[in-house]
Amino acid sequence: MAWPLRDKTCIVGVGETEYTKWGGIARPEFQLALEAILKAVDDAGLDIKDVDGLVTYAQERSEPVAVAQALGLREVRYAGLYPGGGNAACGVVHDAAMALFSETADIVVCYRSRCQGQYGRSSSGVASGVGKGDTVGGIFQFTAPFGLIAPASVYAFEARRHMHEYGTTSRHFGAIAVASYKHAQQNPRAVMHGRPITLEDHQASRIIADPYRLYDCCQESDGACAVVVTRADRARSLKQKPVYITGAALGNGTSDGLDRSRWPDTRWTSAGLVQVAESLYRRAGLGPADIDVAQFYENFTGQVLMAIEDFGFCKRGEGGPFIEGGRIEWPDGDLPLNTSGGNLAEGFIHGLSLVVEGARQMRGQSTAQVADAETCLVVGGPSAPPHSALVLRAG
Amino acid sequence: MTPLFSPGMPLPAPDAVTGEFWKACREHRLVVQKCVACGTHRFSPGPVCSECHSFDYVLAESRGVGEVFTYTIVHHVSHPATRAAVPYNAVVVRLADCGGVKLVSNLVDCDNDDIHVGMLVELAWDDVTAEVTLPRFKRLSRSNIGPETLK
Ligand SMILES: [Zn+2]
Repeated sequence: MAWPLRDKTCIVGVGETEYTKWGGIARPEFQLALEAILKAVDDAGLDIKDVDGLVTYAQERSEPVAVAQALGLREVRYAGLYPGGGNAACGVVHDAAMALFSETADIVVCYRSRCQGQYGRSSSGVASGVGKGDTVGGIFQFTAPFGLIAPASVYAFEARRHMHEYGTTSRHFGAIAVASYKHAQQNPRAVMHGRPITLEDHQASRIIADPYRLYDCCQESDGACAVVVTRADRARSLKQKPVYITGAALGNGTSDGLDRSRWPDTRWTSAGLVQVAESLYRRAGLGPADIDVAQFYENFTGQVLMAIEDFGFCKRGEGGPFIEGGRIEWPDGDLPLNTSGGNLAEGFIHGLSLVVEGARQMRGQSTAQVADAETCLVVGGPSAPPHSALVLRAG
Repeated sequence: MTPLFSPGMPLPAPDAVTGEFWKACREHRLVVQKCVACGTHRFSPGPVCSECHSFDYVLAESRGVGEVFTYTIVHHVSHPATRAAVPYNAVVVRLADCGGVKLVSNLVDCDNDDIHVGMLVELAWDDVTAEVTLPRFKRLSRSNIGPETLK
């Protein structure tokens, strides 16, 4: 039986503030959230007062109730917080689709706002539970005292294990960064617009946590973005060409979680998305061969490579050779990846910007538009359960 | 042992679940929870067996021998107390006993360039303060290698 939500909801508006390097925006983070929401609703041709649902990440500081009050929304009928951080990038849209299909709400906005200059950078240990105190609790008590503080050092473990088992190399990881930077040269919004890199630049960049170099790590940015979601029947009469949510899935497999010690061996050479990929394809009624363009959340390049394997674009261990030879580069590659520049080179808005780019591809409005693209896969933060992913389809 | 990191490095905050693990470390004993009902070992510590959902467990003591499952060499300074330590290693050790559970640690007395997946290691207790002892590891000495080592 087909998934009841298939093609029943649509992204009908997208919006964003400018994206800058972290610390580049002086306006309050909360204001950026409001700006992005207003732009997305305007893009949809809707009235902000008609928005009755708000969904964001659990880590978002601009909470739905504060947003609703500030914008004078008439009535809030759904407010959701998807667990975690970048893993939520597609989870918020899945949440919106459920709220809409159940007629809990009629117009739902998903948003994310980050000013790392105002609130601290991920690479400084904020993401590892290390605060100003000299002790650390929870699962981080088994990692931070050993110097695993910045996320790069934690995710490097899986990259190294994949290299050991399958012969994957740093140059394979570099090919992902080169593609993202190449696509950012098309995109005037991208922080790295005007700053292309070569594979040699990647290889010469400083080591952060071996095997990861600087260009393997997502940048840290200031900015906000938002998408508007509504039911398909209403979407068809709105201003923009509707972008159908054909499939959506979230979650993780057994023994997955933030405590890596509990992972089974096979999880260490994966991005943890195997189960989500299987659910997503079944719900969408599609497979990897049907995907025209893809946006994969880049926390670190190795996690993208493993996520490509999880989604069945190649066999386990073959991700390195798969991405070589320009296969993931627009315009000529078979699977153009992260066509806005992604987290690495457009801006790091915790991945919701990848949903925005997916919607633009399906509207034919990307700055690196894939010709005749009808389907787009969007994958939320890999190796950070609960995971999430979407298949979008052009209306 | 020469301190790996400078004073101020984050130290574990033992709680109701993890306190007995850290207390045993203080006594230079590496303990791993073992389910009484089904025999499954688990780490990091938790109140329930994920296999059979029994809350009853005993603490099994590991011989502290294992192998490097994966590793990283950290160059980025993410905390002031790591500034003098970079580049330093961090490893995931898979214990040879206790169900092969994995734990994060550091290798001491070892060139970072010599670290590799599969390297055999043994415990090297590090009394970092008067209250806290961390289980670090070092390359397995030849005298400890025998037919039983990795059983
Ligand atoms: Zn049990």
